[in-house]
Amino acid sequence: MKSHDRRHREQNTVVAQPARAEDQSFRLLDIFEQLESGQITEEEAAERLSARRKRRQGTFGRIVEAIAS
Amino acid sequence: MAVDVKRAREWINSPASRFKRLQYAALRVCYHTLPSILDTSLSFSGIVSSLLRLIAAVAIIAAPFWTAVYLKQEAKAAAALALVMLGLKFAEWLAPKLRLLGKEEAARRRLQDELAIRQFNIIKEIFQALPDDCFPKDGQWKKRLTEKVLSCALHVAQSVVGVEKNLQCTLLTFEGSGASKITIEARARDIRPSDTKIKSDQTIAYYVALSGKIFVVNDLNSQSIFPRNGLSQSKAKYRSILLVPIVIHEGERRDCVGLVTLDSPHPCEFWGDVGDNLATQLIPLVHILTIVMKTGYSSVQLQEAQDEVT
Repeated sequence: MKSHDRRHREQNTVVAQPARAEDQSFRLLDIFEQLESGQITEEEAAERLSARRKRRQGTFGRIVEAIAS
Repeated sequence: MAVDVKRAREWINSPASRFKRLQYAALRVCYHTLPSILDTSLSFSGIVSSLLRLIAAVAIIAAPFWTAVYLKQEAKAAAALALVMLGLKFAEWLAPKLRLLGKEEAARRRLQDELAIRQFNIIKEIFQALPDDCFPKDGQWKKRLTEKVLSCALHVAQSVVGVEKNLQCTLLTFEGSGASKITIEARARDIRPSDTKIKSDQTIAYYVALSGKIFVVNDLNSQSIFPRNGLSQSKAKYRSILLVPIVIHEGERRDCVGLVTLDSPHPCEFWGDVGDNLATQLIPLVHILTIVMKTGYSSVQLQEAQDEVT
């Protein structure tokens, strides 16, 4: 990327907080970021999305969401 | 109204409490589940059709009483049968809900996740194979492309939450020194003003950008941290918002150059798995915008805008 593009971008952007280490495997954008950088494969990404969903909802959440949706 | 920075950050970064989740579930039932069960829409045909369905359901449940009255029998047995009929009607409603907890739904969601992952990878590989200078420098071309991506995102959202929902998809970008302003860059539907600029630290979008994670506002009216007016209007016409930050990674640095937002006039539109599913499907489209903005579009546009502001 051109350096002036980078400079403008740095002026006009918000520096996002990195995810906590324990959340990194479960944050949606982080999973796709790891996929983009080649740290994980498509299958691993699918596994993480599935694990993330289970962790996020829990049994209580799944029942409440199923009734309310 | 000045935004309390500490409360704003806490609100964005903390998960909802169990009580809050139940409150959102109740709102979801009132605004989405019940109208869907009653098949109600605010039109003449919608109300008539709902009334007919209700009368039919009551008539079916009360069917045992017809013979009881006709044969002049005791109503006790009829009442027991009517209770059974009521139970069957309830089971008819509950069955598809329980299926959502089953394996079929889990398999469907997994397929949707895999589709999003593959789309993301295809887009990544195509753009990686293209040199940066192959994109037209024409700003109008890039604006059109952005609007098409937003329109696509809107279609995805409508396919998930329902075609009749009055949704809007917007691209927000930052400008000014230290991203002090936020501007509406483009919209999927041309029904609200765009190109509005406001102070970014007064907006939910700014704090979501700081957090670098996807965020759902379930009910704009039930929070007291941020002003309840919209970015382009004095009174917001939406209550639910899904915010997806556009993050560019360079080494350890994560720059948020803007956000894609979806909004709906109903509360809890993106609550729970609906929002999660939608966000997963939107990520490949947001990735296109990330690449487009990375290749100079945003920098040029923001530089021009910055000159106007400063």
